[in-house]
Amino acid sequence: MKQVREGMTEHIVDVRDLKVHFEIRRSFLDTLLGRNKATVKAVDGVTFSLRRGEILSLVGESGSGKTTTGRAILNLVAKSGGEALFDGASVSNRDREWNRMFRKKAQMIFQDPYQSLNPKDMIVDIVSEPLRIDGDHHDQEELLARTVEALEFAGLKPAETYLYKYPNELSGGQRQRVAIAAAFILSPDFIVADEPVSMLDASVRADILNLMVKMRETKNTSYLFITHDLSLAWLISDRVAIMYLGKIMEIGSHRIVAGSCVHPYSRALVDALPTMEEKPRERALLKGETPSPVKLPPGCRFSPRCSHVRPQCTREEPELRCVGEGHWAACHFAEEFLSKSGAGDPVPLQGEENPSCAQ
Amino acid sequence: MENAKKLALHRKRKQFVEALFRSKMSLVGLAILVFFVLLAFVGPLLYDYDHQEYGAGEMLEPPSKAFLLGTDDLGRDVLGELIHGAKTSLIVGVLATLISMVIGTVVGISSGYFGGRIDAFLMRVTDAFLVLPWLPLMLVLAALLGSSLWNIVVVIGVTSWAGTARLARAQTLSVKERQFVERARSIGAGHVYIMRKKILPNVFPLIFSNTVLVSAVAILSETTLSFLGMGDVLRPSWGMMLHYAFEAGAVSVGAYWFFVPPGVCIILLVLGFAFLGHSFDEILNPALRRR
Repeated sequence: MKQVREGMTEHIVDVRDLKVHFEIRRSFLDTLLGRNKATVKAVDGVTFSLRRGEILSLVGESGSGKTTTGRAILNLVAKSGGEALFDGASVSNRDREWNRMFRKKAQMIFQDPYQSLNPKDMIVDIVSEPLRIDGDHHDQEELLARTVEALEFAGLKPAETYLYKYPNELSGGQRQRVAIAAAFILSPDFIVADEPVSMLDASVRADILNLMVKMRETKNTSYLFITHDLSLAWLISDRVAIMYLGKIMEIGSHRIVAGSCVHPYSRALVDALPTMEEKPRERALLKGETPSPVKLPPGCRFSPRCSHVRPQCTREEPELRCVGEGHWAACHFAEEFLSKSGAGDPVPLQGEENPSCAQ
Repeated sequence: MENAKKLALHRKRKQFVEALFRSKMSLVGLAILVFFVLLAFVGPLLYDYDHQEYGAGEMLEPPSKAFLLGTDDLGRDVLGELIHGAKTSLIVGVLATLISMVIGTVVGISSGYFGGRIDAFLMRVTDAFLVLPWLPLMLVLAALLGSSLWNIVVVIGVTSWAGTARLARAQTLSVKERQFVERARSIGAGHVYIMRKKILPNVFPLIFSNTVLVSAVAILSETTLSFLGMGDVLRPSWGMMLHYAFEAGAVSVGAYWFFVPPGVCIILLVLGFAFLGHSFDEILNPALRRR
């Protein structure tokens, strides 16, 4: 792994109490009746950081705000509060030069390869586009050579057969490879991968994931890997963060997925994974539906669905706190669940100075 | 590299042309347009005629060997007038449509893309142009600017873009939500770049098929203006012929050869544009495609 160069921050991305709220447009009737404006708290105070070369998975059900978090970090959606730092500077700052650098170093891979490629552009234009608009001058030959290189890296060989095709002439897997080639062509330091394989056939998935890991190994790229698939998160990432209704419920090494999780929500997600064991194990399954993010329940936002709910849960909202080495959870009774899970001795509540509690 | 790219573009164009030739309606439309274009630009070379030569024949002479379509009230050859008038109608139709399309597309795309106050402002202006009775507006503008051919082109152009703007805005609203627009933003593309490279290519097919229909309206507008005496007196046009036929009382004296030929030509030309526009719509707009 590359050494942290001088003058570089240790964390490539630092998210502090990030909030993204959307106001729902009121209907005429609502205005007449004087109803209050409703806000959807898509992301409601998320804090984490990403080291250079690290893969962090953001896991959650649909509507948990994981995609919005990724978009806010890339400044594709305006944040309502908190801060997202890239290389130590706020992503929403307006400095032209900095923004040019930021758009080169941070890229996004989208979920749906049928939607994310312009049907009117040829593959060669799609892949070389980041180069053409990065503000530096590249001549035609260099553009073409780098496009071919990127396509072949992404597994489209020989690249020449794909250059002058339109997206609708390719399969879903091939399209996602094109999207990946376009994201890789600038050798970015950071990639937000929003469910990059969820629309693809199982046979293609492994290839695409391997590509991403290969990129990390050669270029030390960091990933924010957004997924709803826990087993995928366990497989690919160094750390996993579990989100629920706009907040991180638990964050820790990828092993928390394999059973050492303490939060009842994480536990329920893990228990919902299918197993190959013959005798059915005891599962704590989720009941009910995710509450509306417009009207959050009082206290802990997971309390209405939690199987361990206690009176304190509906009164106070638990903070995300350290429960073990690099392991944080937002549950009042995390220590209790930790000792039950047998994953190790509970670490008594400690301040942030404790090195084992560094995220 | 450029060759391979051209080849791919050529392939795409070929598909479009093939689809065009498969439909009977577009073939008929195309045939009519080709006929009138030839009539307008090759006809005058073959058929000698001077617009200002009065008294070549008798007044309101019926069709004969010398004058195949008779003469008008000033003794001019109606066939010659018809051939030389075709150019005016076509030029006005195409140029006015071009102006209308450019204004409509720019207004519509910026309105839909930026949204908010810009959208509200541009759409109110568009609404104003939509609800203003276009005929009086055109008459006033034509009177103010004077009745030269180019003024008429401009007048028709600036009064007929509102529908195109609405169409472009509606399509932009749907295109701008698609992920490739966000992808362009994520690599640092500017607004103008996104509108030009991402939105326009996806909105254009719809505008294009609409444009052909707009040109039919533009030709009719030119006819109307000329008929009402706002045309360019120095250039023959079909509308102008109808105007003079009306003034000379051709209908009441039964001089059918004076007003029927320009009338039929206008109807045919408009029909040609309408047919073509309709089949473009069918080819370029998959929702309308027959399965």
